[in-house]
Amino acid sequence: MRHYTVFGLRLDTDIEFPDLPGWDEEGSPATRRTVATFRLSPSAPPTPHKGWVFEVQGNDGTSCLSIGPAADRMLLRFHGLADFLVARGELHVEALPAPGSSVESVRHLFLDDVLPRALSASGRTVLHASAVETDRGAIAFIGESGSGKSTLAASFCASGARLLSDDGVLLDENSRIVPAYPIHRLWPSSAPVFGGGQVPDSQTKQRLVPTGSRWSSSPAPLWRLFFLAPHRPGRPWIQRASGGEAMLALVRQAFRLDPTDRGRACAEFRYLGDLSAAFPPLALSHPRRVEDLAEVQKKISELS
Amino acid sequence: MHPEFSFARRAVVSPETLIRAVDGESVILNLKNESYYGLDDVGTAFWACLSTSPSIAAACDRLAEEFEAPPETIRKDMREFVEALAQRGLIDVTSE
Repeated sequence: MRHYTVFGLRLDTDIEFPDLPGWDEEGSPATRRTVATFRLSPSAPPTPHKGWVFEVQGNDGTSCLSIGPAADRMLLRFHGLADFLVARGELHVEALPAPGSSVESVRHLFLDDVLPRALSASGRTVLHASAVETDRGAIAFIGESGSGKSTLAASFCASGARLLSDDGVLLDENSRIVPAYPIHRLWPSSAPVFGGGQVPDSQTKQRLVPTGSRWSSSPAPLWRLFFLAPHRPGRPWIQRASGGEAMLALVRQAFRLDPTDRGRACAEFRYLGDLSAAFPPLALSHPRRVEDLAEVQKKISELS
Repeated sequence: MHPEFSFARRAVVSPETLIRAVDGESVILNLKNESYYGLDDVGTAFWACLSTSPSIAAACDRLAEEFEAPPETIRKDMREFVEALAQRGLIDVTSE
């Protein structure tokens, strides 16, 4: 059995996770007592399943991900890649790769999608966002895939900030961001700008390991939330969002395992309402050009 | 099937509807179908009056006074608002 640290938890697993720091019992803070488990089962063709409660479709209209109950667990089917079975309300995950899928793909799906959803179902809030720790506190960039979250986080890290998370931002009850794991996931067009060792990713992004000083290993108090919006020439890059718009942006980017879990939906709704009231998200709509990233950092640093 | 619209009826928030006010606006969650909706400041004022008035007509009267707007304008907007909310299962329009 191997032990790693991810999202502030101890992960017990039967396979290697090269992206994750090892678990250090002596040096681990008391908040890291929760244990997640990951078990890799032999590859097998997916069995027919009925009763999906949630579907994600690709641009061509075919299902990429289906989620539904399966006895006392939730089944997540990443079509053509793998099935994951998650114990309800717990962090115990079994993976069943589809024939031909690589272990690497399974690992990435687990870290970047399955585990955030499992954390959500266990009562935590995880947003589809990147986050960095600066001297003024943690900054989170919330947005859809391809909106520039990872590039922004990497640009801040290249200027001295510490990475907290690239894709799933876990917030604790004290509005602190808990570090996920020390990897940047960048599209090839952005990756060469920031350097670092590169490993191919299952979603065609490149995974880069920040050097030691750029990774934050402790929870960081939240300073600002930004949600990424399309750039409109002539408009300010940073604007205060309306209250409803801001909360909806958070709601839309929350990871969920079982959308039909009403108790969890109510709790998350209250939490995100409190969060958007305490940290009113700002809309960030800068031009998506690498040469403008320094100016984005400057404008953010000038906020009071 | 929703009952025929009448200003004499009362709008009752569905028990499966959650609403959260944020900075003068609102976000609504419909637990029946896990759908989220946003209300701007005017929609939030309409919701506040509608959900606390004994009838839709009474809500219109309060809003006409609050916004200093012609009652017929408020009634037209309110009817569209109520029908949109009822269609989405966020309120039930009950007998008077």
